Amino acid sequence: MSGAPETVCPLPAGGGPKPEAGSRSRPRRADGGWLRVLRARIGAIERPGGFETAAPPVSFGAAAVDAALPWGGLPRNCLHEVTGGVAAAGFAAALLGRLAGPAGTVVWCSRTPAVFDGGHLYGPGLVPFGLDPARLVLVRARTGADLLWALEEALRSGRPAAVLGETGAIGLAASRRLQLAAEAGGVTALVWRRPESGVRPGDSNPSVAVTRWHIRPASSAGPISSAGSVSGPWRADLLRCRTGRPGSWRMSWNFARQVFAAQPIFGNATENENTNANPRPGAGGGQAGGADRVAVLAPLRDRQAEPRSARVRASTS
Amino acid sequence: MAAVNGAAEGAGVVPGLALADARALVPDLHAFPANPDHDARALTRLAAWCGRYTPWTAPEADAGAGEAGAGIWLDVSGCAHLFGGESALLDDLVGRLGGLGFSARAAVAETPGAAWAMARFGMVPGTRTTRIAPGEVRSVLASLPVASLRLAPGVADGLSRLGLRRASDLYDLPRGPLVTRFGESLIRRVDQALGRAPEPVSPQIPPPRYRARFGFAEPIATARAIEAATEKLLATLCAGLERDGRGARQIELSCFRSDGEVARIAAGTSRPVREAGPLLRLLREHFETIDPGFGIDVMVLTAPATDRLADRQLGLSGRGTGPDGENGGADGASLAPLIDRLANRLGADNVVRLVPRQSHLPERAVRAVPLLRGRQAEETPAPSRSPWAGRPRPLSLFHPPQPVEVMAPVPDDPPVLFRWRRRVHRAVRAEGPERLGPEWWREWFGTGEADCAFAPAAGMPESARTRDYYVVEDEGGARFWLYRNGLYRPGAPPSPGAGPHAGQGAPRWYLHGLFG
Repeated sequence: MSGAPETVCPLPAGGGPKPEAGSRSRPRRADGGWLRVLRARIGAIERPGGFETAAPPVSFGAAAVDAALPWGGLPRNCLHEVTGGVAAAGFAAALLGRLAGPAGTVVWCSRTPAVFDGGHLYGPGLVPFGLDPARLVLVRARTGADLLWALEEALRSGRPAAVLGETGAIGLAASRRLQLAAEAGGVTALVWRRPESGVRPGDSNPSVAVTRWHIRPASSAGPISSAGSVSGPWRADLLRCRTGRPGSWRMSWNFARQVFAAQPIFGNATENENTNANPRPGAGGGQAGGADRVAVLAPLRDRQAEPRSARVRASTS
Repeated sequence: MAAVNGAAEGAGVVPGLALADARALVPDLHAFPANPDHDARALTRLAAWCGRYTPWTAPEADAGAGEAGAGIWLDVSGCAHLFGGESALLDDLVGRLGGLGFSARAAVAETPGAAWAMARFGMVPGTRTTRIAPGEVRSVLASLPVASLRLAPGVADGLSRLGLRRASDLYDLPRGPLVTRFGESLIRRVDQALGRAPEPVSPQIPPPRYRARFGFAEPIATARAIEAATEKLLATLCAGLERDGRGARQIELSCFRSDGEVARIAAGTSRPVREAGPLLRLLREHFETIDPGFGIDVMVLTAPATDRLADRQLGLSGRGTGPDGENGGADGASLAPLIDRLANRLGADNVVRLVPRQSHLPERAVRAVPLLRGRQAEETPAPSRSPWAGRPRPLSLFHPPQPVEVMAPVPDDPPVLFRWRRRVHRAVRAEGPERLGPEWWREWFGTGEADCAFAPAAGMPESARTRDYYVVEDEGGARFWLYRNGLYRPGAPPSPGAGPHAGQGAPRWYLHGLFG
């Protein structure tokens, strides 16, 4: 599976029906066999907009994460999901800061009155993550439908650098709409599924998001704050990555250099610790680990619910 | 002579005199050609200016006719107390008009007719304002000449030939003969002055300057027809705006239905706009709320609020030079169409920007400013990020702070254990304290004691205490922002509340935020 990044190579940019039609008649055997060609073809079907070719991906600044993602970073102009508590907001804010750069504007959509009982976004707390509150537009929607509408409007307008939405569980159709809007507008979309809404990281939330991250706080090794700011560290689980493999990292945010620092976590060594840390049922590492083990099915797994793919694995092995 | 000023009047020049005669009286007389149109326009402007006192203002219909002088009606019912009473309002009005260069007399009475009479005929010499107390109209008017009743030209002369010189002479005369002789208007004027007949002041409402109207040969009812008509109206409106170098901040579409109902939709913009496309998109959001009923006869599009908008050069393609207006892609301008759409559906208060405020109290340090209403230019001296850097601040803030139950081994130490939302967190690490004093210039404090800022005096608000903030990390790595409200003082009066330390003089603990 080390060849995952290359799977996109046989297809020309913006792949679609044309390369599909061309390669259907005679798959090229020399490039690595049938499997590889088929996988490329599936990749083309699954990525109608060819998002990864449209804009350079945004780097995490940490080689360990960038190398693990098939795009060499987080792809722009598509939908990403983040789950977890306030730690996920910190991770998302850091990502938004890197996506927006020094001049871009970020639209942050939440619900009003605070539906999620986890406090409300506090501007000064964004500064350590490189997200200047002056470049933030805060949108508060009354209903979930309004929130999705606002997200889609912001994405389709193509004006902001990135858009984040605090949502509960959104359906497959809604996530597809967001993905299409992100591609059409050329704006990166982040969806933060707040734990207060009842969403659990292991739940079978069907969505077309390109990546799904689960962020938990990790205990800091040294002092809590550095340079007057508290940011991270986190345990970041990449639960799903289209055409890529899931992974786990211990991440922290370097406030001075505005980059992530990450060390990969292998195996299940830390799972017990984190199960204790997060006693919410279903929020533990068990299912995240399950996602780790079904990694070989990742390219085909996207449309399927997680428990089902686990079942597939059980029957095939 | 059409009109003369006070100095000329003193020299014997009166209206109606020929200019040559007037020059003979006063050789160095300044004379200007009369321009009744300009006078009427100035009076209208002055009436609009009087809108500072009451929305119901109107220039007198036959302004400047006769020697009674021009006048403006003000219906001050319910407005006078805002200026300290009716007399104070009159003084203020006359004083301000004097500042503008007008010499004016003002009277207030129960009826417009009585006020008119008093302003012109009932002034005590040397004064400029008069007020008739309620219920005294009849007695006060009684001594005034009949001309004070706003009579048609010639009627006053006819009355005086009959020996009817005072208004009171007309009060109780038989009405039949008066009507046959002088017409019905005389009786009406008497009744209006005495309050027997109503006489409303019709307000002068400024018509919107930018207005487009579309009447249909046949009533329209379909959404597509409404949209097509709106497009045409917008084209007309935007042409008018373009001509004057202005852009709409607000537009209103009125649909007059054939059954007499009127459906109105309105939209606001965060910056002046005069492109039809974005305005149509804003209105289209609300089209579904229009109920065409049996059909719409007439549609009127107005721009009640406009702002200056500099001219913009069109590129060769017919589009603007920048993608989004004259600011050439500055963030505020480029986001404006999006902000307009969001704010028009979600409400202006729900599309905001976070702006720092001069306060060290965390909950007051940031303010949400609606993007639609705020002029972006006036807030841009943005103190970049300096006010917010430096100290640890949480990503998520609770407002109000959440009370927590705390176990701390030493009173001034950070807690080792705290319970929040029925879950016990064991503190592994803690940093602090960061001590934030109350804003004594805002809060109320008890009197006397020098260290009252630290003493939970009776009646002192909870927020007016010194807080010690700690960053606390629990065993799972979650980071909390806790503070102790007030300081430990042995022997201090018991703090309110039901914490474990209640009644022991212990201040309470709160969770104020969560770190990301």
